Amino acid sequence: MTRKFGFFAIFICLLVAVYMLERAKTASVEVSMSSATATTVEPPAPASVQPEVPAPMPVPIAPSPAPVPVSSVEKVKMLEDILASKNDNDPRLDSEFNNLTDNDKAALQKKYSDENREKLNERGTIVYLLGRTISSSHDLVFIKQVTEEPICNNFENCNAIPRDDDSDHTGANDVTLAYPQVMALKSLERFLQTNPQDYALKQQSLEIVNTAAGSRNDVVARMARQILDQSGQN
Amino acid sequence: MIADMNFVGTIQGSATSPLHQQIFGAVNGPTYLQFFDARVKAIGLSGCGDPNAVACVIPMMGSSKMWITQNYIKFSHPQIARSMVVFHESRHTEVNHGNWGHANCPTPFNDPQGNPIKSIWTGAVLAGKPACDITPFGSYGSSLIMLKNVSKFCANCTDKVKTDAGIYADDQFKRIINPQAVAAIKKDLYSVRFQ
Repeated sequence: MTRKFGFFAIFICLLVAVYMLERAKTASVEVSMSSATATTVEPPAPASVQPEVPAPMPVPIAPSPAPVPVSSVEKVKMLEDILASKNDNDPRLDSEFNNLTDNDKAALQKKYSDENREKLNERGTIVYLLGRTISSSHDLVFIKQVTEEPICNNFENCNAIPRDDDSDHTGANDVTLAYPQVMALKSLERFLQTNPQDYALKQQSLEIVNTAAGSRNDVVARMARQILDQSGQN
Repeated sequence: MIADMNFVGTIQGSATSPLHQQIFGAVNGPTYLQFFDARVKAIGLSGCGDPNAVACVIPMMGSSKMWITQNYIKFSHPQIARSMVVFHESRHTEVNHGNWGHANCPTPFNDPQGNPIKSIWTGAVLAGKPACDITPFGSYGSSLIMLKNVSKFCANCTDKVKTDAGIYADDQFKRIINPQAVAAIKKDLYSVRFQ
């Protein structure tokens, strides 16, 4: 009887041991699956047969490069290139001369005075560029000097005796011979049309136009009178 | 001149005035080149009998030939002014319109302020000289209409080109002396609807 009980006890112990082992295995699988569900969204990547390529490094977003300041000397050089090309439609005329510093203005004014008077388009272009940024009395002094220059009589030599012409094939010549002055007046016209709040600058501009209206240069005088008419000053 | 025609060939307009449409078509580079090519079949070098001339057409030497003088290169005109002269002369090639001959300017010939219009060189008044037009379609009218359209509608011109075009167009306008022609051009290009 005692021996039977002993076999029975051993049998029970083995059953309990097997049960405990099986339970422990099942619990391990359950923990593993629940862990995978919670953390993995994508299926596991298949084993790659290619050599592993390192993922590209994120490119840092650089700030937009600040416009490189162009020196006054470089600006004049750029203008010389444009003028030499005789291409008035060079887009740099619209983009590279908008915010002229005092140094830029001084350099361009010097360029103007260094040019031969017969370089009418070249000189007029400089006046045009300077006239777009009238902001001080000093700017207007330059414009006034341009409007008061003596008449250019001749394309080959401004000081030469005027040539006779047949009045038809020379239709554009009158304006071109006065082109720097025309550009100076055009600048004043535009400036006055902006209705400047600076009373002193406005008055200074009107005085220049008023003086130009009495110019011996017929083209200059006519244009000045038109500006005075438009501004209600005549 | 080739560079200038290349420039003209690139012009793109955002609109076109009715008179421009009638004369040239749209404000558009290829249209301008087509207009020029249809009229000018040859180009030569000549003095044009005038030391200040830039270009001319001499009908007795061939109506479809345009003569360019050395002044085209030597004189320092703005680019749009050089182009204006070329298109002015191209209108003079049209035999079927009598080469669009000019009219004599009236006597007296004054600006709107009452001052005599005269040559900057000689001081000679233009009154009585064949340097005016009585129609918008002649050489002065058509070239000023072209330039005024460029001034107003060119979408790819620099501000300088557009400013120059306006200046030279306005100056040429004084050569139109017939009141109906003046009114037609004013209605076409100088009325507020285009401002």
